[in-house]
Amino acid sequence: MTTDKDRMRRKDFASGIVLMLFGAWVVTETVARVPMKGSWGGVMNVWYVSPGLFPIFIGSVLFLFGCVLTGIAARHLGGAAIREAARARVSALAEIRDIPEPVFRFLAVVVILVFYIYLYMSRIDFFLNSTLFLAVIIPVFYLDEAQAQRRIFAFYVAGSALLIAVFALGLDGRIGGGLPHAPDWLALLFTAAVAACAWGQARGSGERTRKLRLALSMAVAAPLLIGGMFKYFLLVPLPREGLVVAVLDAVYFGLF
Amino acid sequence: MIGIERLDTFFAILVGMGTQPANLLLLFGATLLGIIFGALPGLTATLGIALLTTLTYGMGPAPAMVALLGIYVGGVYGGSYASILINIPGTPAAAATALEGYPLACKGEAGRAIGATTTASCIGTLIGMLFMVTMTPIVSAFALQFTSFEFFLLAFFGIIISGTLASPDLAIKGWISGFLGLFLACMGRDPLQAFPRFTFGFPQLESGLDVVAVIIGAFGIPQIIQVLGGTFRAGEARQMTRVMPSFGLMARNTGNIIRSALIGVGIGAVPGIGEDVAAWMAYGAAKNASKEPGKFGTGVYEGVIATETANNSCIGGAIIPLLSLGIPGSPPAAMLLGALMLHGVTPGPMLSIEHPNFILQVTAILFLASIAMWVIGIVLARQVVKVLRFPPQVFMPVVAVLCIIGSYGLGLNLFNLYVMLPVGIVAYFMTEMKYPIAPLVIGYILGPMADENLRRALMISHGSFLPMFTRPVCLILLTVILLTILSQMGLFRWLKGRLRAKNPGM
Repeated sequence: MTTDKDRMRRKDFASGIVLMLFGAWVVTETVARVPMKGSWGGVMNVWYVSPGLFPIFIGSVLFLFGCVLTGIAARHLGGAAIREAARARVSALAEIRDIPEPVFRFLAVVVILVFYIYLYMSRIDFFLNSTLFLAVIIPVFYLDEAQAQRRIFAFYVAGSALLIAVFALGLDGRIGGGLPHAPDWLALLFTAAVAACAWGQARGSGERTRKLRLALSMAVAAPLLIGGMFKYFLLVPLPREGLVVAVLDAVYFGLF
Repeated sequence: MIGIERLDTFFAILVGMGTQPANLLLLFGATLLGIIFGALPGLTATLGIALLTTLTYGMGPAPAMVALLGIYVGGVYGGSYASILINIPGTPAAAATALEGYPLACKGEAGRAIGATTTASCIGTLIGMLFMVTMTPIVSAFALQFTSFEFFLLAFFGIIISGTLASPDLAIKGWISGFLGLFLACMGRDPLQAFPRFTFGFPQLESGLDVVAVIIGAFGIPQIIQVLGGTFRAGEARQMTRVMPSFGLMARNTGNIIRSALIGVGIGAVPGIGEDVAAWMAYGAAKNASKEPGKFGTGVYEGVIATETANNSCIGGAIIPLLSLGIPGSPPAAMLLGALMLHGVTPGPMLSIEHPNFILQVTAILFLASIAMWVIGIVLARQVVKVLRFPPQVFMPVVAVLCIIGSYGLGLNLFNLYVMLPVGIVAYFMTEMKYPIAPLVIGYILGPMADENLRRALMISHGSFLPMFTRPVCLILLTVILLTILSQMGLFRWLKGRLRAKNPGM
């Protein structure tokens, strides 16, 4: 019978190998790029003053720890069990027809965060970007219905792929026909589409409709509160200031 | 004479802070925020400090410390609300509290239990504060004798000891985590010769990884993924009656409180362990010392008083190595160290010389924060617990937005966000594989100290490691490090087993 400890040692075996490789990479990278002796910045180096000394020490220790961890795991599991586990993992991967629920949930969080930070943060107004992020991530996890989760997520990924294409081809400027803040208008449309998709999934259940209402209210209110506090109270410029900031600026400077 | 002068200065600072409405408002606001953060399952005091650091960047060091210590004290205490009312610890530090707190709530004594934990937490914080103010100058004065070799070994000791004690599985995983933190610290230009290391051609990496991006990534992102990625279900909240601090109950538990506070301070002073370990150890000690240990688990007040005294007294304990040596005693203290550095205060032996009143200032803030926590706990507890009805699937994404804008806001640098997410994802996998995260952050913070002092020491000794074996403090540190490592090895355990078998009385 496989115990929790066995499962943990299997993970340790894999992570030990990764650490060995990582430690070896740190050492070779340091030896290849950092001068161990000679002159740098007017300083004559000897091995013990070299900027490479500490990374070599860390890399060597990580390599050693990786070996020890792998050894501990191998001793606990035994060679036959490791081979069996590797074979079982390969065949299990080959037999996967559907993404298991925990993997889907992990992937959904990471993908939505990746899109929010790497794809939209420098392109779309912070308020709109955060609203889009919250309008997707809250319903996906709060509606708590597997099919709805996957549909909303798939819709978001498909829409984001379309937006990537639009940004990559520089079509956002052309679609707007000179309209100011064209990417923000596109994001606004996309957010409305995501909300509509979520609404479609929640329809028919009073409980889910109530949850979605809370989710969408939070998606609009939280960025306004957080972004507003940073922009107008702490005077921190936002990562990207576009359509909503222009409107808020007009209101703020009109009032004060 | 010096003692009386220091006491005078302390009261002057205390009165100065306590009479400024802005400071009081900040203190009560931050403490309340801390209690809310602690009460919400999934959010911790560490994350609270990390997020508040970004908001305090424009303040001076003193008001920033008021806010940060307020949220720290409130955050550690607030965890007990969720433990008692819904049987889900608001923070890891309050996990032990749930064992007795929830059965008490089931008996209809939630209000009385929260009254007891509030008073115990307040007393715990005050005892921790007393140890902090007395021990920090002593340790600092001792540390002034240290040279580069000692500082290198001290950093190394911090990583090894926190790795050993913080690891939920094998100790080696804690050490690996610490060394990965040291590697992160190597990125950027080296501190002595400004040679670029592991920058991969990115100019943004030349100044190294931003401390807030790393800490928010390491502590915040895994929590977001865990709460959203898991199938988190909030328990049904128990009804809470009026919160009553029972002074008779506290008086009967005087011995329990003192013992638990001492455990908390002791655990807090050891680098990188933190409030959760202190609470569990105090719970175990209270059970062992009890006349009716069999009743533990059914809802006994000794249990909740022990855990809450210990986790709050741990705060003062964790600040001792932080201020005297620059080594954080717990994960929230690690974040506090980052915040102090951002505010231009470098903790360590020179702190008392560069900022003579800083320790007294921290003492006064801790005193006021514990009072603020008690007042809020007694007066506003029934309102604060309403946040427990808020679903984590809704507030966690909002915390993600806060993490992101907070990480960006310090350097106004998008690159911080690009660093934060990968660090967070790696930290998530490490957590899943039972690698502790606190040593990673401690390694990252102590990395420059270790690197710089190792090379400086070798420069002075012309490449000789001999001083490590001839200087008494070095020798002690080296011995402790070696013994800590050896104690985790199979050979050592086998020898210990053989010795025990030969001498059953051992």
